[in-house]
Amino acid sequence: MTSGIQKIEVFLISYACLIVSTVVVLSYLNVGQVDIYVAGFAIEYFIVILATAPYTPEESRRQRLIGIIFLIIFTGIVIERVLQLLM
Amino acid sequence: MLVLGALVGVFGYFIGIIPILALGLGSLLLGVIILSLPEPTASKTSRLIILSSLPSLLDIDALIEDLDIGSRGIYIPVSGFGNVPKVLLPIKESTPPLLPPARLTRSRRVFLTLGRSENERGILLNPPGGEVVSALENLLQVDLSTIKMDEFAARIGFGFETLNISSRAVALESVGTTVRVDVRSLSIADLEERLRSEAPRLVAQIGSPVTSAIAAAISKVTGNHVRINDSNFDGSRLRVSLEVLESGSV
Repeated sequence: MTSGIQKIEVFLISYACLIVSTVVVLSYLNVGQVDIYVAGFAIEYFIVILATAPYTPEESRRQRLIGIIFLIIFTGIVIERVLQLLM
Repeated sequence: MLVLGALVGVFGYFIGIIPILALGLGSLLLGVIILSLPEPTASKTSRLIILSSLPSLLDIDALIEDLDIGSRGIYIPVSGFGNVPKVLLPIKESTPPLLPPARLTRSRRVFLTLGRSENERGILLNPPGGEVVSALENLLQVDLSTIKMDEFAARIGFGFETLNISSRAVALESVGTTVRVDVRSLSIADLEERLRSEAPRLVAQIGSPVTSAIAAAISKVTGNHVRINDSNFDGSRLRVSLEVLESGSV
């Protein structure tokens, strides 16, 4: 009755795999700052969204909202890093 | 996912292990994304099937109007795995209601005359949700005529969810000869709404595909004739009230 795996499911599975991979790789590299992990999650979010697009208008609208939140967090992290370099 | 992420994150924060904290944040993030997703709706294939079946349902509505039939359909019980009940729409409703014989479920005729009076004439149809009953039996691997109402009430939710009819639990309550079914988050809400506006006779007298599937299934489970008392839809929640016509009580 179902029409196989849907786009949104591909997105969720891919993104979950990328999150786990990021944690494994960064912890292997002994990265001790949590903001680097979060920045990685944000970049991966946009990559997976682009790779699995297009979505239905309703899905796109909600993803855009999460994207904006991610962008704000990412911008905050970058600003904090730049300020650290300048001071 | 949300709770797990929060717990792992807090745990990671307090023991000071950043990868565990990051893993918790990642899970939390996935939980938020899943929560923000819209309710699942019918897929493109389902939509195509819905659009293909719509003209037939509109034709049945037009037929009911043309024949000036004002009675409610009576679902005829049937037994046996994969067998689907039929629905008889008498020309006139009678008191006590006509209880058509079970042999009619094997008939391929449409226009029937069971006796001389008007209420003994009618049209015999395959119910719009008949095949859903068959699919439900295939899924649950059970002949619905062999199970009790309690067991059916416990399993209908799983069946409807797996068949992508609804995404939430189905509540079924049986009081005397009345059975009330509450289906939340109906996945074919657009078809339900369209039929209610364009085929009101079909919806009220025979039932929309989901209402009809429920009536046909209850008829098979109880082994009695069933007719629809009432069915309401508020955009995502379908409430159906059915009357079980026990031969001794009518």
